[in-house]
Amino acid sequence: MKLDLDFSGTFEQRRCNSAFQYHFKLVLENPGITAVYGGSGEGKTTLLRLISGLEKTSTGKISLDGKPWQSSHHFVSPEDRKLAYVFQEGRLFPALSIEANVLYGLGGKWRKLDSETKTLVNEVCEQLGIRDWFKRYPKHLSGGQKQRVALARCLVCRPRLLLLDEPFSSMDEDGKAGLLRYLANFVFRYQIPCLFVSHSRFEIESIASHAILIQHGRVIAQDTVADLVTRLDLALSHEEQSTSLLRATLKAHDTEYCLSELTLGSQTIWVQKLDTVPGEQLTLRILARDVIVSTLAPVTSSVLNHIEGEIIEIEHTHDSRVLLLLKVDRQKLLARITRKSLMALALKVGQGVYVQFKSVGLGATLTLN
Amino acid sequence: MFLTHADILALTLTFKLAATTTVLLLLVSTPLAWILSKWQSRWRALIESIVALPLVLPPTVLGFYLLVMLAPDSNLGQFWYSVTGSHLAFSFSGLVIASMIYSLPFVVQPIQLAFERIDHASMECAATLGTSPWRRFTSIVLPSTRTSFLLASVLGFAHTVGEFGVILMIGGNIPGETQVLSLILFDYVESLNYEAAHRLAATLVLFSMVMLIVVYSLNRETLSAEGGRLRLSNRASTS
Repeated sequence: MKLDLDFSGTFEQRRCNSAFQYHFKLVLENPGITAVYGGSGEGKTTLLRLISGLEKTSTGKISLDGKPWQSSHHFVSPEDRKLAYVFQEGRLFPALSIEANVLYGLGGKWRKLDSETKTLVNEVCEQLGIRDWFKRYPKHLSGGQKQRVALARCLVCRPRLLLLDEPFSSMDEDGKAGLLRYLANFVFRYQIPCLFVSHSRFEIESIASHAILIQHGRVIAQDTVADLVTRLDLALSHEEQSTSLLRATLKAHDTEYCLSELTLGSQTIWVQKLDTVPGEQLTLRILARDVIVSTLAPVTSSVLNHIEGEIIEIEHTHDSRVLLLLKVDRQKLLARITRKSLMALALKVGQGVYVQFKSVGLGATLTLN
Repeated sequence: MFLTHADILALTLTFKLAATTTVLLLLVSTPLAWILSKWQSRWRALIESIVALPLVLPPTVLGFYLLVMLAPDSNLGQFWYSVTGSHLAFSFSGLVIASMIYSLPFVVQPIQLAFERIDHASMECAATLGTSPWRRFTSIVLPSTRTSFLLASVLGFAHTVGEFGVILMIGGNIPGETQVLSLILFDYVESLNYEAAHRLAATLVLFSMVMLIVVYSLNRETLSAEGGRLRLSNRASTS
């Protein structure tokens, strides 16, 4: 997949009656899920609308895999782009039943579908938990339930490009992890590239492989999520929830202590027993404030894991806390410690340290590359 | 019998005229209302004024111009004669054309209002799901505007039934061809045959009342139903 676009224009915000110039220039080549991250009103939704063709500019250019969707003399209308767009507010059709909503992009009639599509619809609706609402109407559903239906409606179409605008914003946290995992597996199985707008770092870090950062109508950074979140020059690493992502492989289960053994290069991490099979690749989410750095190998501590790392960057501030960027098995890890500890341990760039975690979170388990 | 043969003939003719006019008007008004609801040009005001003109013009003024327009030596009259071999003035076809112009605003305006209220977000969403403009119209627009279509049909029908001035000018009062209810009633009153006039008038009042009751109860069901779906079908699905 190669999405190549160049749009500039004026972005008007009706709510606060302001306008600013945007200029989006972007080449997306990675398959899988690309997160679009940025604050409110920075132009994330505008970018999706431009890509979908709902927003039209006279000078814009966009092509997918070399085929132009819009150029100076050419415009492919949204219905011919074979994409699907999950809107933040769901946008279910109020006059249609939930079943008719889900089948809308497939022509609307269940009996006209081939058996393969029927199986797919059944699977998606089962997994998203919307099967029981088929006979209801949108006004009977809550915001989060509408979002599930809206997502199902787009997935069953198996689009060439999936645009997701805050698709989980109204859902409660409980079911979200399962949905995220299903979405990630689905788009991987059918090789559907996704652009995923979200405010939630948890959602992005769980399923997105790449991310673009949007600020004031411009793309200010584009890279893998793991690299973006650990870049000290970007605001992401300075947020209270700043996190690093480490890729690890599940090596074995320890049934006696109910733990699973993960390997990170040559090093080992123990986590609570997982229900995945050995060999599986996992993404570990580690909060920067949960990382403990010491200069000596910890011998007596209840903290189970310690691995070795090397300091590659220290952010100096006059604040109480500082950020350290560590290299662990060629991967990057953020640690937030107090400035006082930095001084007491006399930490320097290039120094080898021992790293412990207070807790480790898991992203979606995927067998990607 | 309660009503005379002439009364029955006039009644049938009136309903045939109203039905024909309403069906043709729906076909003309739907695209017209769609264009007017989407159009941002300043010419929109001009077209809207022309559509609304029959609302404010005295029917006799409209009737006079229609008489001139439909006359055998007019352009339209000659064209019609060359195509169909009959004259427009004092004919049923002439009445249909006149009624369509006379009742146009009553059909266009409710539909246009409904089209202007259509949820733009739903239409966008349908487009991104790959549906053609025609399917968007039939699957999103029509279901959410069916109440307004019903209202427009009733208004157009009723207004055509009640037409008098225009028909008096161009109709010619030919039994079975152009002698509609309002004209035969006028004849009865002129000839002081109040008994016949009462019979006919009462029949019409009764009919109008029944029709309005049916429409209003239908309308109520539609409005209280799930997004335009009749309540009957919904009750089955939620219970």
